[in-house]
Amino acid sequence: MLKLLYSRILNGDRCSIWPLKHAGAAICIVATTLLIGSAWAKTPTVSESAPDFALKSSAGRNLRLSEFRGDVVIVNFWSTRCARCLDQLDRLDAINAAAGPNRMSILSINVDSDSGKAQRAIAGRDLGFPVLFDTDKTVSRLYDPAKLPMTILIDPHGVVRYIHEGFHRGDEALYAQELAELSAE
Amino acid sequence: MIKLFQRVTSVALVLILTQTAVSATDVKPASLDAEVQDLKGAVLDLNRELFMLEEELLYPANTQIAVFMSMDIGEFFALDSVQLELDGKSVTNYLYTEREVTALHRGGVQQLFLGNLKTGEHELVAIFTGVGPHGRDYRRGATLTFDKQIGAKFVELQISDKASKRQPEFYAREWE
Repeated sequence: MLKLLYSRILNGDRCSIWPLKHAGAAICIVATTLLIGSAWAKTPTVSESAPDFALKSSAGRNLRLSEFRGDVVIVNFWSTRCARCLDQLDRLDAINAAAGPNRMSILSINVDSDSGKAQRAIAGRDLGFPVLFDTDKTVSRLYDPAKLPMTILIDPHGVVRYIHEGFHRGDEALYAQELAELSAE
Repeated sequence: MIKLFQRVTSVALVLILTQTAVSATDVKPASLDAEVQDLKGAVLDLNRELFMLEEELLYPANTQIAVFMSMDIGEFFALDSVQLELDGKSVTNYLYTEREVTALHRGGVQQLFLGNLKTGEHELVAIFTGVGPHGRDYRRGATLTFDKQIGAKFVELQISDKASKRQPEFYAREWE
């Protein structure tokens, strides 16, 4: 399609100097691609408001992100198929325990189609935060996690401040540092 | 369009705050506080006006349809979600949190859906899910066929209790 667009622009261009003709066409295509890309981009970016959502939680209650305004919120997307995700859950639980009475909440979103798998995965973990089930992928479509686990830190005003894709041992120290920074604001 | 409004609001806010910062140096603290409060009020007013303008543009009165949700007592039904279909097409699926259900119990009315609809006959189906009497999972529907004329159409969904049968009742009706 881009090829066709390129040739159309070239044919329609009255400029007879070859390099200028091609440069013009290329600029048009890049601009169009950027425009279309920005119009279709769904993933929240840093400094933007975190899209609101409500999901059913492991405790049976429905939880809505906007009801956590005033807290620093960690939203993480994970799947039972991903070993690092399960490792990250344990690390997040440690962060949650260490945070104590600070105004911090973790909303952990499982993206598997079968919530039973997630229930089994968290059964022995005794996590101190709710796990939400995005079985029909409504929230995944909203946040479009490119790589699991994806971790998003949201400030008390509901603005996305940090996004982390993937997880490596030691990242939890970075999360804790960012949490402290956001809590102190 | 929404992005444009957000940008306009942000720019206005930045300009106002910049102006405040510049003038802050030669203003006494007490009056500065009052000024900040005034500015906050002005920003909120501006935001409200933009919101109304945005709503008028996106949902013109002639084609607008709004569906509201309310609850009367609701002792026999713990609401979990409402799925709304208009002419066989799902338009919203809303999950209720405890706080939202409490607000409905206290007499709150929630705008569940706002959209556009052409004139003519339409069918609205609302499917309520939750926990009914004796802790059983409960799923009930309410259907309303209505004629959309030129002008806004308001529909109310209501959950109430039928004390004699100790069962919840579900209504969908037009607001006159």
